[in-house]
Amino acid sequence: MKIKNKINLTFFLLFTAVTIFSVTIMGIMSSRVFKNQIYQSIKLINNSKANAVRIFLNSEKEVVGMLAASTLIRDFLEQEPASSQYLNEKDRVAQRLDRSIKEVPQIYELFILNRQGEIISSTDKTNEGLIRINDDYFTKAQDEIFIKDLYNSETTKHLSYTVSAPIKDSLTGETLGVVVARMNPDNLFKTIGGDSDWSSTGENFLVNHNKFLISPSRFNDNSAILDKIINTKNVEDCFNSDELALLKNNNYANKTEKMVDYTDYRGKSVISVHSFIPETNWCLITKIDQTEVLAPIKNLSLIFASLSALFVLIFLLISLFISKKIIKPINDLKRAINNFKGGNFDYKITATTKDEVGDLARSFSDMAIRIKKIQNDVDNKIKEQTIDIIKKNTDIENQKKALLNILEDIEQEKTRSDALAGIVKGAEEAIVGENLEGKIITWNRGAEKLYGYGAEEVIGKSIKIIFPDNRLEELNNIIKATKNNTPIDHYQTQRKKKDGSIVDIALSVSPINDQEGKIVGFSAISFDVSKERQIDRAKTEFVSLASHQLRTPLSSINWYAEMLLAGDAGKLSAEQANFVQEIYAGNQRMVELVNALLNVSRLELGTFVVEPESVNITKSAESVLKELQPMIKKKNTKISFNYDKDLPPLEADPKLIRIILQNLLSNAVKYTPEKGIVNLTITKNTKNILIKVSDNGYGITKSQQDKIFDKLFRADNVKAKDTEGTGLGLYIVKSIINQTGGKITFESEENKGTTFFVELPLSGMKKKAGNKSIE
Amino acid sequence: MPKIKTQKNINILVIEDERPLLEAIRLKLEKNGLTVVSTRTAEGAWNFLNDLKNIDVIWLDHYLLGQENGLDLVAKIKNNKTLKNIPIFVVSNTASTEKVKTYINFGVNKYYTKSNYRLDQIIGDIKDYLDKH
Repeated sequence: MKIKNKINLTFFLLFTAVTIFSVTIMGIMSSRVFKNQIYQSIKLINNSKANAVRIFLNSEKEVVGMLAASTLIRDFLEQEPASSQYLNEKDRVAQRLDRSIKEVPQIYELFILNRQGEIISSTDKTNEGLIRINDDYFTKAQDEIFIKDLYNSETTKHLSYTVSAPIKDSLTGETLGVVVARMNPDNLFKTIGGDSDWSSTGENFLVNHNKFLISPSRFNDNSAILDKIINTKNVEDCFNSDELALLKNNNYANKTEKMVDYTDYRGKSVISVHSFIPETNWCLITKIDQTEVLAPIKNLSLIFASLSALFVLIFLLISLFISKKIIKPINDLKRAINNFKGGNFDYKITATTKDEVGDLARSFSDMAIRIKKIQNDVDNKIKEQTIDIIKKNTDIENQKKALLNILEDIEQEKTRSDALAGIVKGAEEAIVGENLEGKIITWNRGAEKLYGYGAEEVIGKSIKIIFPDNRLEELNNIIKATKNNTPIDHYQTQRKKKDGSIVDIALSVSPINDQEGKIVGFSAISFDVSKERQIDRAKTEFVSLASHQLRTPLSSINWYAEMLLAGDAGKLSAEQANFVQEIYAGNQRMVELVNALLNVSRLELGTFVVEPESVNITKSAESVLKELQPMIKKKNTKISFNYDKDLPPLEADPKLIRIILQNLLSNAVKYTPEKGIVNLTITKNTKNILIKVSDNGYGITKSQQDKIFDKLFRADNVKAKDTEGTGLGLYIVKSIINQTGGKITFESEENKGTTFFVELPLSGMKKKAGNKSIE
Repeated sequence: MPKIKTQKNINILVIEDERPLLEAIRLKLEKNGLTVVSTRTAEGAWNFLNDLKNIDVIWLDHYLLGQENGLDLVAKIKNNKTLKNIPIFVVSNTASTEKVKTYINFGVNKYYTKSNYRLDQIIGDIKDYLDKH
């Protein structure tokens, strides 16, 4: 059975049992109390009624006693009937009797009996003369007043009883006669009546010694009087107790110590109290039906029953409520467990009581969470692994695809590379493919021819085998440049042939990328430039030699002239000094010419060097101006130098910058008359440094302006002014500027002045390898 | 009579292959109060340096008579513990950047293109240098 029902049933049974028990106990106890109460009341009634009867009988005894004591009656009894007085007395007695009967209405008949038991006077004249000597009312009243038990009178047919009293002689105490009063029992009955006043089933009745009912009774007709025998226990007990009562010194009111349940003449259970009336040997019974007594109990019982039913109901409800409360968490738990069983671990247990069920619920909850976590972990692991597997599959697929692609590419490449290979193979130039460590991968026919090694001899070996000893570092530089993706173009260098001879080459290196663009090696194309180099070298050597050879005598002349002029060989005369000065001056021109020619040759050969440094243009300009000071002073030229304060340093070859500035500035000073003005302005725009050199000198004739940059060209107007110049300056400047990415323009008007504009890119000059720098 | 400076004596070793030039140089140096030792070869210079041990400064041309040139000599001098600190002034008519660079890298004090400089300029620089050091 379900716990709930168990609880409910238990409670229900418990409460019902308790209720029944309590009700029963209460019923029993209250009925007892009730009965006792009633019993006490009945006892009181019985007592008072019994007393009332006795008092009543006594009063009647008194009345009759007083008559018996009457002298008249006594005297009458002593009179002889034959006497004259007798009739007189008799009348007086009869009057007396009549008077008494009128005074005491319950007396039916009042008569006097003489010693012989003869009724000598009676209120009922018909009875006079009757002899009643044997009657109890005569015989038993000789000494004391005697009450004769109720009887049905023959003569009058009335229910009556008699009270008779002896008439005694006052002197002798002799019984002269008896006065008898025959009583109507109604007043007697009245003393014990009023039954319906105090109950619905209670009654008082009298029984005589023979247990005949002698009074009216609630449940009997009056015809039952002296007819019905009441032989119930209570009557028995009453007459049995009379001995006890007598023994207890006339304690007549019988007090039953204990209440006894009697059954009456109807067979019903009654509470009965009895009193013995010794004067007449009567018993007075007072009784009441137990049902009437207990009727209130019945009512109470009903109330109790309903109340208890109500209580049971309430308790049932309470028990339902409690059981529910107890059961609910358990049911929740059951539900949760079912959910968990079904795999739903997210179900939240709501049992949050602090008792054992709550604990259990929480434990389950924890367990569920843990299980869920484990499930999740397992799921995740499976997922991961599935993803992994899928990924691996995809990878494999991709790799397959890639392989296919590669195979295709390889096919294509093969075709292409076969073609390329053909080209490379057949090329005259030496083309060598190397990896990033300089290991030879490919070696074409050109390489074979140039270096003398067959392909099979060198493939797999380091390229260093063709490097002359003094050029071994070049390989590292080449590799570095390759890694930086810097191409090497026509780099003049030397290599060693198989036979050990050195060959001049122009080297071009470009990186080799794989499909992903990663540099994996480089390809070096080398041209045998020995011939060119030879020619070049010859040219350069020639120029070099020429310049050296030319300069040596020039230096000699210079220094000796210098010493002469300094007076190191003795003081010169003015004229001598003059002449030497001319020699010196002429020599200077030669030196300048030689220098210029050298520069031109380098420019034309392309062998000049550009080595960019961070050049402060302003400082260079200042230095050039300082150098020109002698000339500036001599000609009294006013120089103004303006420059932007925020000129950035220029990545340029300082020598070249110097040459540019030198030429332009010296030209400006040279080709301006004395006291002239030369302005140098250095500014910048977004892309270039702007150098402006302007003078107010001789200017350039329009017709000759287009030739001004030509080699060895000198304009007529300056030739006429006997100025010295090689005619190479502007050519050199222009060449330098052009070859370093700049621009030069000018504006000029004869006799007004000239302004040269130079633009040098802010990006600076590119490093240029060569073998000689311009001077 | 040439003026002789009363200060301490400066010994200068001049290595120059052209005779007229050498003479001019010598004259001018002596006029400036330096004591001149001269040779036309690198070997001669080396011998002087090792024998005399009191050379204060060197005037060196690049092209010399004999096998070695100025560069070879400078290399030797700079590798010699006792000699490497002697200041060297290279005065030559060749001006290949390569050569100049190499000389500078060896640690020579200055390189002059002969024809571009007056004697007194060069000697002035030498004296300035020696005054400072």
